[in-house]
Order: sequence, then structure tokens, then C-alpha cells
Amino acid sequence: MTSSPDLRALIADVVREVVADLAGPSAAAAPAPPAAPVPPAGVAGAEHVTAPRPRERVEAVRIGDDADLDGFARHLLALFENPKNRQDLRAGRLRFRLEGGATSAVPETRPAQRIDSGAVTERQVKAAAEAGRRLILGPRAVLTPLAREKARALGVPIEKER
Amino acid sequence: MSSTAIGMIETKGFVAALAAADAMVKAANVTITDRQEVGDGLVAVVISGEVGAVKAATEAGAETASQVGELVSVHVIPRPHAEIGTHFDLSAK
Repeated sequence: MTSSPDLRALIADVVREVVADLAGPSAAAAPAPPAAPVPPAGVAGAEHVTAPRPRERVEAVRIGDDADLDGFARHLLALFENPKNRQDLRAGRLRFRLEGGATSAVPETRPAQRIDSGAVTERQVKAAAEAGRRLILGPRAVLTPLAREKARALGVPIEKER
Repeated sequence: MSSTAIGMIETKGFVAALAAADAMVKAANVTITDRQEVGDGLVAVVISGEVGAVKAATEAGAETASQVGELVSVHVIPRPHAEIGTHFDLSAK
């Protein structure tokens, strides 16, 4: 029992030295790193070296279909293998941002105009754009190249049934 | 290949193809370079000319063909590769 305070002091000294060595290079490079002050409690010292890094990371994630979702889930699993990433994720330091997926989630509310057969010309696309309608083409309707360009320019959605 | 674009219109039936060809050469400055009959009533007319002219011509030809008979397909190739000229007869006669 008498050796316990000595042992504690020894461990505290060793940890202090190790922490000083670890913090040394970064302390030389950066003037005021958060890890530079030696922790008062010697036992928890080793954890303090890795923990204080409050930098937040935001990863952009693009989810457009099932394959993207599957890929993201696997990426998340791979991140969980690393204890540091796991802690960052739990603490909210590593976050995710959805990229470019907002367009597919918008529901189509325009009234539809169905064309079953014949040529779909630029004029019909223009008329549909003015009326605020979308076009549904039957299997025998043929979209001309100019009409396709016009639909893209005016933002008229065209669905083709097969 | 002297011209920069080719356009194709395929119809079911000879009359629609003829009407489409007439509408195309009247609508813009294009030349008819080929006519293909593959059987089963399918007739394709190939035109060539400047890209804008070919697009305008196929627009007019497609509308006419769908009014007269049955339009099967319309397509424009803006800059055809020289290689296809060796296997498809697309040069103006």
C-alpha cells in the first residue's frame, strides 16, 4: 500500500514524458495546439492526446439510386472499422451532406398530355410548355431531334412508354 | 463527305416516304442522298446538308410523313464519322 502513491507518481511522470514527446513536434510547428498543456491526471493522459481535435468533417454523399445507397452503407461500415472515425461519427464531428439528390425527389405535378402515334414536333413541345404540361409518348410516337432539343431547353418532361 | 450532317426518315409505305422527301427538300437547303427499301413496306430516305438545315428538314419531313402515312423513326447525325461512308452509301450522287 505504501508503494501505491509512488507507483502513481511514476506512471504520471512516464505519461507526462510520453505526452510531451508526442506533443513536441506539433508544438514546435503550431504555436498553440490544444494538446500542449500536460494533463493533470496521469492515467487519462494517453487519451487526451488523440481526443482534442474538434475539427468537423463533412462528406458529400450522392444518392440517386439503390446502388448508391448500398455503396454508402458499405462506406459507413468501412468507416466504423476505424475507432477514431467511429468516435467522430458518434460525436457528430463527421457528418454527411446530400449532394445533388434533391432533383429526383421532387414529385411531378404537371398534367400529362399523351401522344400515341405520329411525329412529335417542336411546335407541339412548345405548346405543351406554354400550357405547363408534360408529354407522355406512346410506343409509336416519334420525337424529332428539334423537338427533343426544344424540350430540353424549355424544361418539358418527356416520358417514353415502351 | 462534303456535308456536315445527315438526316434519316423511315416510314412504313412508299407514299409517306415520298411525301417526306418532298417536304424535306422544300423546307431547307438539303439534298437527298439515298433511299433504302428494306422490305415489309419500310422505306428510309437519307438527306445531307448543314446541321441546322438537316434538323429543320427532318422536322418538316416527319410532320408530313405522319400526316400522309406512318412515321417509323427520325434521326439526325450532326457530324458523321468518315468511317461510315465506307460501308454506307451516303455520298451525294
